[in-house]
Amino acid sequence: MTNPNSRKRAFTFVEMIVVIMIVLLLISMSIIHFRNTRHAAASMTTAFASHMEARKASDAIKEALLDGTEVVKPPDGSSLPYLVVRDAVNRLKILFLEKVSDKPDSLYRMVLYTDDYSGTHKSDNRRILFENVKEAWFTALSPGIVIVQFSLLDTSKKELPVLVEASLKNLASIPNE
Amino acid sequence: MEVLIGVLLLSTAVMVFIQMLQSSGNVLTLTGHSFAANHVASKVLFDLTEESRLNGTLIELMREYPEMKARDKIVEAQSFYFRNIRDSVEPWGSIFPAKEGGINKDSGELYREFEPFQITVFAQRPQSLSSSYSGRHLAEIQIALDWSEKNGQKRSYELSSLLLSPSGPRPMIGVPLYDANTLDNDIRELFYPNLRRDNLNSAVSKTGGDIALIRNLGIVGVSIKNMNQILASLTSDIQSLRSKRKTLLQSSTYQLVATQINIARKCESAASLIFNGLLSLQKAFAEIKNTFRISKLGSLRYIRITGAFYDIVNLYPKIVEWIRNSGEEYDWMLVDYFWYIRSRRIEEYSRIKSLEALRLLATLAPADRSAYANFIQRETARLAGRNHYWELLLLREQKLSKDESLFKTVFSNLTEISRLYYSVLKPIVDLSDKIYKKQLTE
Repeated sequence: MTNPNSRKRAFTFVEMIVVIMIVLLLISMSIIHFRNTRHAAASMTTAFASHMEARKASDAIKEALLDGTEVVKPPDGSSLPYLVVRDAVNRLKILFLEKVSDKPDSLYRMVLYTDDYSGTHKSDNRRILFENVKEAWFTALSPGIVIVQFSLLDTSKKELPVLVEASLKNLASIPNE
Repeated sequence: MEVLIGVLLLSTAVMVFIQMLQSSGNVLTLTGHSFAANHVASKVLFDLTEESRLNGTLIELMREYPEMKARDKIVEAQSFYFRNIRDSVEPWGSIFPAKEGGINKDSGELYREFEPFQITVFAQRPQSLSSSYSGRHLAEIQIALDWSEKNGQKRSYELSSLLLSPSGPRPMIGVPLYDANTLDNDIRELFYPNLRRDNLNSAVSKTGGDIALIRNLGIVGVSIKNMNQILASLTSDIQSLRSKRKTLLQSSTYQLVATQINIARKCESAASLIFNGLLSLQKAFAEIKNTFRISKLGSLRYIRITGAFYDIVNLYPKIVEWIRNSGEEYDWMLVDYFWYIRSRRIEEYSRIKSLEALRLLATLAPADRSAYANFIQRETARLAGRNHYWELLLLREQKLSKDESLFKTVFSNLTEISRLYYSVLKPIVDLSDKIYKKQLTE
């Protein structure tokens, strides 16, 4: 026989609402947080990729100048959108920007041309160092040091400015007889 | 009981949840600015490496120019290291940081990228290496960058490196100008040319002299004889190079540059040869001074020993003369007329060699201080806005040339050379003069 006074105890409507509200609050908090985190992680990934590109571009410039002995152009204390250096065997190396297309807002690519004494232009002597360049300036600080200021556009068309100081290793010795 | 378990489970879940939130936040401490900070710090380290190459005493330099260490913003030319980025204002061909060269609002994205950064540079002797020889000549450089993210969070980045910054002079012992294996034979040949069948000991015992004194006099004699031979060859080379230069001047080829540098180097070698050669005779002279008696020479003819001492008296002032010649020959390459045949690297090389010669001259010969001051003034005007490493170097040089005690601290090596020149070589010359003039009889 069941006792009519012993009714089964259950949650009240208010208690249920409070619990559901707390659970919903926690869920929404975590969703917002994780969305922010994911967004930050995504933008971090983009930033990381862009900076890696910038680093690769900087390294390409440094490597191109490595066997240079002295800056020919620009003169010390001057800036130009191109750079001419001389290497240990007196070859000229030219770093310059080349338009990718004829469109007025076209981006550029950074090209390295190494002279081979022939006095004629040979396409084999040119090497593309990197693409997606918006602008570049070379400032000579001394015969062996150049500041290269350039900006790259990343996949989201965001401009990433880069400032790199590169030195010519001057592998040639001072002349002697 | 159920409530207790419920509370425990709930609190565990909440703790795990909070930790999860916290750890996911920690992952994001690296931001886009961190990469830019790395670029900035690398650039500053590059600048300091160049300063240490050119200026040598980096720690003292940074002490003299607190702006090299001050906490500054990178943009608007506030930081010492970001004042020569681009020549953007007329007159072209020079960067004057007061009106250009910095990263300004006109620099666009570069300004926005670098605007949040503050930079501080620390320099000190490396504590962990303080007891070692190398540690005393190194500077521990720390480049610290800090910035605030858009959400207000503070971030920082540090880059450390060890750079050269010598403290105190390098030891100088002189370069012996004799062959230790053949020394006795060379002395015998020099002092006793007729006793060909004898060795030094038997020759001295035959002629009755003090072997120790005669050997020391012999070291001086053989060294000076060898020095004279090398000097004669250097002088003859310099003469023929100077004649060649006259011919080359007509054509002004690159060979002229090589010839000129060779002349300057040979003058430098001559100065160094005499200085180091005389310095190597310190020990022999200390013993000669204490033991010299004519009676100890036996039947060795006095005339045989005097030649070397006469030469020493004459060679001593030649040190300054050769240094002066070398400085002038290097300076010759800086004449504007030759700009089209000398390369810029050779121009810089000649400039530093010329400055080094003048600096040394100013230390050894007070009469040459005006030449040193004139050079600083001339090159400061020539390089204004063109090469900020040299501008700083010359600015500092100007200050040092007027402050003797600072000069001595910064150029401790030169101070040591000066000490050796006046306190070690001069007494040797005075003693040589007395021996040559036969004033040191007993």
